[in-house]
Amino acid sequence: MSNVNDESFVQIRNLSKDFLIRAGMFSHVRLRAVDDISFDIPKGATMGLVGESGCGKTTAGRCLLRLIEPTAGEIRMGEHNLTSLKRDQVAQIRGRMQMVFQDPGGALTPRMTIGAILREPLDLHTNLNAHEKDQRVRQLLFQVGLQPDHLSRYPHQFSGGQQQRIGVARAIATHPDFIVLDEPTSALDVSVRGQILRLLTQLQEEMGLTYLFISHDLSVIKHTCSQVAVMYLGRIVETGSTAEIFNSPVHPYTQALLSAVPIPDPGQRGKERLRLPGEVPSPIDLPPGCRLYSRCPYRRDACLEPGPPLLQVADTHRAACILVDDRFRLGGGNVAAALSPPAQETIRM
Amino acid sequence: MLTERRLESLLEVRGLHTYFYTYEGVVKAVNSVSFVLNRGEITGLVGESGSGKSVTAQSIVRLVKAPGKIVEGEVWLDGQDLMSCSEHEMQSVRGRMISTIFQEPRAALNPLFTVGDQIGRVIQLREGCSRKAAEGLAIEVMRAVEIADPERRAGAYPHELSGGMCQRIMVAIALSANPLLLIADEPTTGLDVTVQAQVLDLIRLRVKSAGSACLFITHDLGVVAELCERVIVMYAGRVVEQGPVAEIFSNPRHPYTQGLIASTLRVDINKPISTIPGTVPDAVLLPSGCTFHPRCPFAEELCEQEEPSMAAAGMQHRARCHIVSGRIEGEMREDAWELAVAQAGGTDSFLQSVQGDTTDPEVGIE
Amino acid sequence: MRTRATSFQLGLNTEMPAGLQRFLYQLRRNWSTLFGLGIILFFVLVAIFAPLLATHDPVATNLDEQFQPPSLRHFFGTDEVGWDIYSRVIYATRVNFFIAMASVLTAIAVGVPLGGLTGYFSGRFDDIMMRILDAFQAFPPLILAMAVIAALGRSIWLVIAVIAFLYFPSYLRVVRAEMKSKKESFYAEAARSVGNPSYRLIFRHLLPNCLDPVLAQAPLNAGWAILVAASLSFIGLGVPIPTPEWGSMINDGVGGIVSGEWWISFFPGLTAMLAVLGFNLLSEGLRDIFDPKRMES
Repeated sequence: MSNVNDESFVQIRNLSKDFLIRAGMFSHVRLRAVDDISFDIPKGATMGLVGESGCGKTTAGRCLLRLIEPTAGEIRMGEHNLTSLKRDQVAQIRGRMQMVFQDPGGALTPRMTIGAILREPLDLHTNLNAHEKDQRVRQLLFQVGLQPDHLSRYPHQFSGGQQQRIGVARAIATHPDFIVLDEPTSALDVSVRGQILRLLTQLQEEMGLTYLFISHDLSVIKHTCSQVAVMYLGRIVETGSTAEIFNSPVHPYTQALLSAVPIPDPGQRGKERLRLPGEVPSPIDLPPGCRLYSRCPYRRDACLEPGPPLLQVADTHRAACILVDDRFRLGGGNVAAALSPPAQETIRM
Repeated sequence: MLTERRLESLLEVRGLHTYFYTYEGVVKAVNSVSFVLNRGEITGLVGESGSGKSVTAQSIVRLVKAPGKIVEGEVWLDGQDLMSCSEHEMQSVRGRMISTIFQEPRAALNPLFTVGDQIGRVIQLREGCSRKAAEGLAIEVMRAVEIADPERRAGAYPHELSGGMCQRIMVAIALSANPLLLIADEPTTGLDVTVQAQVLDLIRLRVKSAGSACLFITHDLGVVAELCERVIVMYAGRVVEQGPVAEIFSNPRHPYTQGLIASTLRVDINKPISTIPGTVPDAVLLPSGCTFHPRCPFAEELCEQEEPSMAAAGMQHRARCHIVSGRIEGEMREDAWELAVAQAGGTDSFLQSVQGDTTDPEVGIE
Repeated sequence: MRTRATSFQLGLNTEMPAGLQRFLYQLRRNWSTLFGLGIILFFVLVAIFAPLLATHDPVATNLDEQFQPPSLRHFFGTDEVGWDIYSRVIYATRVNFFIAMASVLTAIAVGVPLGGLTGYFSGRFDDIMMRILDAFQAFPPLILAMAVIAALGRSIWLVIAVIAFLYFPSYLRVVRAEMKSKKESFYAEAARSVGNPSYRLIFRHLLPNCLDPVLAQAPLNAGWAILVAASLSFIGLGVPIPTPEWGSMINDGVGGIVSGEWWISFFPGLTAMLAVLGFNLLSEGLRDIFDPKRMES
C-alpha cells in the first residue's frame, strides 16, 4: 500500500446493533448482532472484516454506511460524523461512500439497462449535463474492463464476473472515498475471482479508495487487506495487521478458523489442526463472558466473567482473550507458541 | 496376505453424453465423459459453474431433469449396467447402492417431520425392524455423527437445527445404508469453514470405514487436496484432466488445471493474485477445437481447429491437451502459467486483448 | 486473436433473443395459451372491422322481419324488433371489449401504484389500506355494482368505473405481495446504497419488477369484466338499450327460449362464453410463463 498514511479516515467507536426478533404475539427478543465494536481504517487502506455466518460482519458493514441504523456508537468518515447526521443528510453524502454486494446479479435491477444503472448515481449526486454523464459512464465501463456497447444490455445478459464489474463501476461512479465490499467475490468462480480482486486493487491505487472488505474467505482477506478484524458472535475477537493475524494468531477462534481452511496442497494433509467442537450458539441471550466459551479448548472459569476486552499483544495486534493477559497459565499451549515474535513477511497487494 | 490390496473399480462411466435441449440451442452439459471410481477411494470432481459436474452426478443416478436428456453412454455400477435398468430397478439402486448428499441439506429434509423420525424411517425401510428399534438406531446414528445430545435433537424439526447439523444428519442418513457409492454434490458449499471441516472429517471417516466409493463434487481445490485420492477436472462439459491428487497438484498438465491452481488463493502462502482471463464460455456456443483455447495462453492454431483427445501424462494421469499429446511443441514448466501470462504482458493486458476481440465488429452482435 | 473471438463470446450470450422472442417461443409450446390468444385476437379483429363484417345496421329496427330464425339473410336470426342478431353480436364485441379493456386498465392504473406503496411502506399505512380493502371486498360485488348504478343511473362509463372499482383491490394485493419480497432484494438495497430516495426506489427500481403477476392476472379479470358487464346488462343495469351488448341481448331472448326462438339468446351467449374462455386460457398460460420456477436455465 503506497498511499497509506497513518491518519485514520474511517473511525468506528463502540458500534452496536440490536435486532428485535418477534418471539410471541406481543413479546420481542433482543438479538445483539453487533456488540460494541471499534476500529479505524487509514485513508487508502483496506480493512478486512472476517468471520463466519451470523458473526455480524455484514450488519456492521451496513451500519457503517447507515443503510441500517446503528443502535449505539459513533461512525466518522473523514470530516463527517455519520451517526449525528439526519437521514436526508446521509442521502446527500451517499455519493462519497458506496457498497459492492455479494450477489452480483441480484444487486442489479433486472429491468434497467447497464447504462441506466450507471447513470443513476450521477443523476443523484452530480450536476453534470447529459453529455458529461454519458462521457463518465463510458469512462466507467472502460475503467472496469467492459465495452461501450454493453450499455444498452440488461444485467441477465452478463456473466457473474461481468455483473460484478458493473457493480464496481456503479460504486466508483461518484468518486467515493470509502467503499464497503460485502463478499464481492464469494459468488464468483475461482478463475474469475482474481480478475475482480485485481480490479479492486487497481482502482484503489488509482482513486485512493478506502475499503472495508467483508468476507468469510480468509485466503481472499489475506491477499487484499492490510489490516484484519476477526468477528465472532457480534464481537471483534482479534485485530491487527494481516501479517500479525495470519502468521501469529492469538485468539483460539482465529487459530481454529485458520486451521480449518483447506490448503490446496495434498502434501500438507494431516497437519495438526485446532478443531472447535459443536456449533455456533444462538445469538439470543448470550452470557456476558467470552463468546467462544462453549467451544473453546482452553476455557477456564475466568472466561465466564464479563469481557474480555481487546488486550494488546503486539504493536497493532490485539485480542479479546484472557490468555493474552495471563499467558503463563496456558502452560505451553497453542496460544503461547503463537505469541513468539511474528515472522516478518511483506503483504503484497 | 492382505498387505497388497488391489484397487477394485466400482463405478465405470463410459462415453457419457447428457444434453439439454433449450430454446437457445443444445447445451452439451456432459460431453463424452469417462472415468472409473475405486472402492474405498474419494474422487474429487472439480470444475467451475457450468462445467457439467453436477449434471454428471445426476446422470449417474439417472435423475436428469427436463429439458436434459442422457443421449449416450454407459454407467456400470458393480457389474450392473445402470442405463439398461428399468425405472423401478433404478429406484432400488438409488436407495440401496447409491446415496446422494446435496448442497442444501434442509431442502432434502421434510420440514414436517422430526429428524429422528426421518432417520428412523430410512432405517426402518432398510432393516425392516420395528419402529421402536429404528428410533433407537436413529439416535445411535446421530451420536455417530457427533451431534451433541442426540436424544433431544432427534425430536427437533429440520428448521430448528443449524445447516451444519442438518448436513451431518444427511451424511448420517446417506451412509447408514452402507451404500456402494456416495455422491456428494458440493455438500459443504454453504457451510462455514469450521463446520465444513467437521463434515469433511465425517465423510472421510465414514467412507473409509464402509469401504464405499465416493464422488465428491466441489469447486474448491482446497477441499479436494484435503479429502480426495483422485481428481477429475471438468471444463465446459468435458473431462480435461484426471489423475491421482498428488500428481494433479504437483504436476498439472492441462493449462486449465494449472490456471485453476494458480488462481486459488491460499492462507498459508503469499503470492500475487493470478487469474484465468475471460470466463467460462457460453454453453450453447462452445468454442471450436479445444473449448479452453480462447482463454489459454499456450493456444496455437491447431487448438482452434481440432479438439484434443485424452493423452497419457503420467501414471494413471491423463490430460486433454495437444501439448500433452505432443502434437504441439511446447514445454509445460511448473511456472508455465505465470510465465505465459507474463509474456502476454500481464494478466490484465492479456485479458484486455481477449475482451477487445469479442467486440470486434466482425464478430457481430445479433 | 481475431479469429478466436468468433467462437469465443466471453461467456456473454450475445445471441440472447429479445424477451419477446422468448415469450413467443414459450407461447408456441403451450397450445391452450395459443388458442386463447387466437380467440382474443379474433375478437379484437372483429371489433375493429365491425362495420365491414356486419350485414345490417345493428340498431335499425325492422318490424317486418321479427323473430326470423338463422338464415342466409340473417345469419343468427332476428329478435322481436327485427334487429339482426349477427350484426348486433359483431358490434357488441366493440362495446364489451371496450368495457373489459377500459375497466381492467383503470383497475391496474389505480391498483398497481397503490399496491406498490402499501407493500413498500408496511406498518400503519399498510394496515389501514388493507382494512379498507377488506371492508370493500366484504360487499357482494354484484350487489354493490347494482346499488351504485341504481343510484347514479345507467351509463357505459359508470359500468367501467364500477368494474374497475371491483377489481383494483386484486391488483393492489398482488403488487403489494410482490413488493414486500422485492423490497428486501439485493437490488433494492443496492439502489438504496446509491442514494435513491424512496419514491425513486419504488417507481423506478421496484415497481417495474412487480408487474409479472399483474400481466398474468389482467386477461383473467378482463374475462370476468365481460361477465360482470353482461350480468349487469342482463338485469337491466348495464349499457343502455339500444347499444348492442351481449348481456342485454341474452336478456332480450329470455322469453324466446320457452317459445322456441332459441337463437336470440344463444348466439350472444355463445360469443360471450368464447370470449371469456379465451381470456381465461390466455391468463393461465401467462401465469405459467411468468412463473419464475418454470424459467429454464
